Amino acid sequence: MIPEIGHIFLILAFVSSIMQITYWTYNTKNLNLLALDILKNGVLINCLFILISFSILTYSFVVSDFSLLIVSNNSHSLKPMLYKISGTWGNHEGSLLLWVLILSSFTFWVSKKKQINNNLLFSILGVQTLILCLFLAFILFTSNPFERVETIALEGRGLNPLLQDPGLAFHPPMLYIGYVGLSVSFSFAVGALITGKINKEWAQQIRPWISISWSALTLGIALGSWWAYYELGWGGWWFWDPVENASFMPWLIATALLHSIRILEKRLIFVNWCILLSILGFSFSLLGTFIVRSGLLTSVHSFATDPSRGVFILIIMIISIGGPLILYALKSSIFKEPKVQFNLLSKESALLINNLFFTTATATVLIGTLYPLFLDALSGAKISIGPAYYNATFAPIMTPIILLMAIAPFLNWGKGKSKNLLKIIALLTLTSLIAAFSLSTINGSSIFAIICGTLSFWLFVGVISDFFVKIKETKLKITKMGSIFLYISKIGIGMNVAHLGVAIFLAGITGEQFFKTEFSGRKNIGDTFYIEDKLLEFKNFQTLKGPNYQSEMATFTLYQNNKFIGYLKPEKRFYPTEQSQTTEAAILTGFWGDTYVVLGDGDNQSGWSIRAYFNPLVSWIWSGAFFMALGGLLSFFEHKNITKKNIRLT
Amino acid sequence: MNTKSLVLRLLPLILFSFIIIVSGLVLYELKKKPTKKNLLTSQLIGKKIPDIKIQEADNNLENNNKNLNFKKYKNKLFAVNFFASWCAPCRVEAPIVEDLSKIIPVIGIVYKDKPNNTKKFLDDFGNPYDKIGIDNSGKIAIEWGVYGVPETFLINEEGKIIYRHAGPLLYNIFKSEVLPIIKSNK
Repeated sequence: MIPEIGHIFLILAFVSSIMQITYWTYNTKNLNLLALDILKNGVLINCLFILISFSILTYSFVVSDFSLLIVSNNSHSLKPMLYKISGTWGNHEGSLLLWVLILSSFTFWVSKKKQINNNLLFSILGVQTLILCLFLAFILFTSNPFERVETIALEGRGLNPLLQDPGLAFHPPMLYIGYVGLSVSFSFAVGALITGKINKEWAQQIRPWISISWSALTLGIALGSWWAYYELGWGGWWFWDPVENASFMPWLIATALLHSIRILEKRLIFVNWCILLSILGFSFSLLGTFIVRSGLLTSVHSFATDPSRGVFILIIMIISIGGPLILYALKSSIFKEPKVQFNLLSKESALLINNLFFTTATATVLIGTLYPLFLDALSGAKISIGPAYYNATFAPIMTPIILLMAIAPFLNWGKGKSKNLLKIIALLTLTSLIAAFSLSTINGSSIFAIICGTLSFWLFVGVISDFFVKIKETKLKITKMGSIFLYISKIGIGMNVAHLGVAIFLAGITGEQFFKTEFSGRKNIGDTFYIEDKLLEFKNFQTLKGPNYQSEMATFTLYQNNKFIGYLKPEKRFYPTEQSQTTEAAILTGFWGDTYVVLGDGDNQSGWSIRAYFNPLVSWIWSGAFFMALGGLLSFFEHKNITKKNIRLT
Repeated sequence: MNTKSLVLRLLPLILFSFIIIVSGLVLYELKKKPTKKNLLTSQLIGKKIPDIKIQEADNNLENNNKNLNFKKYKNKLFAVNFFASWCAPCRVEAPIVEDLSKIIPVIGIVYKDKPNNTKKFLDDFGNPYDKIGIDNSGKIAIEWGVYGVPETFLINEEGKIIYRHAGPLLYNIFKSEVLPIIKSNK
């Protein structure tokens, strides 16, 4: 009975969204305040209905109602509570319900923004509701989460054990906030095309939405990568897997958009380009959904392999992307840009080059992702495009971006002369040369290691000097708590923090990619072996029972310079319900690097096969991503304070 | 209008259409490939019935402290049906189980149920069962590899499981699958 209520509310949300779209289309030509209010209330209703529906689905997972197909397929009564709840979105149907929940919440949030122009807001809400309606149809017609089963299972089949992990419980919601957040900037762009008006306020109002979805995407991708690192036991953190790429492409576009919107805000140029990027950002989110959900792929990520779902998503894409692109082709010529001149060495050209490289990078990833899929489906030939392709194409594109990133903040807008530029470049070059030299003295460093490490250092010095220059120039004093935020927004610290994140990230890559040491071999209890200067001793082996699994666990003692550092306990877990096995790598995280041990097969006689790594600076990769996301969030608040002009400095 | 800028403005649409067309082709190819039917096959088919003691129910459906005796059915084709009063599909299949019981003996095993409710269920929908066993702990269901209630097994003269159906025994399944097996084994 209870699941049926959830189902009814989902249908109600679908019907109400259809009514709103009809009403919206009818009223676009002659907008009045009443129509806007009606649409706003409709948005609230959709959001509430979907929230009720989602809560009911979560409840069904919590009480393990196995009469629901997705509960019996993805849950188990013995599963820990956190994974019962996260099981709600650990499957195709439930994750789509989460998708629409986030979409409707974002739409509701936008509808509360008073500063957005009425005409624009009306169009935005209409476009958002149209997307919502398409996705509700997708859920109801092809992926109903409330489907009952004829035979009530006695026990659930459990959640894929690989997914029973705290890192992964929050990976999908974060990614979805990112994907769906991009729908808001998309609707802003479509709204601008419909109303035919664009101004600096438009750019100011769209920016926080890009910042917040960019931050969420960054965190979501980082969580996924962190999970892959410690759970899959392959020792890597990024595999250029099509599903990873599917989330990476919207990120690249969002990054480009985040930068180009600055020019629009400041100078009101590149209007069409920003509109196109906004449309593309969400298009790539949809493309990602299509690749993952259509059954084109078989990997850890693909829950559903049903081509009819793919057809439906294709139709959604045609309507929600094709439509705006037609609108773009027809109407983008109406935006008149002021004639603005700028130097070759100016913020405008730096941001333009940034955009050029980021879109090229996106295209590179897109080709690398789609080409093998298409080739396989059309000719049956199986090729794999792996790190070799991306190292050769993606990395060279990123190099100039990093070089520019350190210098760009010192450049001036337009025709203005950039002060201190030569001094800064001299400083950067000098310090980087020293860094490159010291890197080359490290054992086993290659030319690429030196380049990568030096770039990280170059950026780091650039960011720090920019920060101090700004503090000197602003000449503000902090006297009240409230003014701290104003201070931050004056300085634009968000950008510094995000760029610092990139420098940290690059340092992490340098360590992990070029200075990693590996051990692999058979060892028995009592044996010892070295990785780098660390001594590992195989202490014992035991079998244990977990809440819903059995485990084989080895214990290693780690010594460095004859000093005890800690224990490492790699496990192999067997989940009887799901009939599957997972490898739990043991990781001892340190500031300078991780010691990582994976337990393989073996027995008492011949020993166990052991793989061990020392990954220098690897945790910097995720710390870097965290700083980037933090930077994005800070710039979200900057915006808030700029618009709230009532706070004054004292 | 400037043709050059028109081409530029159409370019995203053209690229997008290209991707859509190729994706459509890929999906079409995927759809053509035959998909495997997802059948629940039992490990137990062709094997003897699980060697586990089942408590027999008395007339009030309480435990009568006797074990269910399968000896009576030696050299006979018979069916075992797992059911419960709380299970809605069991009500759906009740008339068909009734039909089945007219051809071969059916043993019912009541899964995690209260005696009073079972009694009421059998009073309402009829009692087709030759004997009824009790599975309060769910242990027997696990031994038999039961996926859920209702579930029906056919056991041949040698005491081997020859057929298993998970879910309600609907009329078309009864006619197309169960009856032919009974005929060929008689």
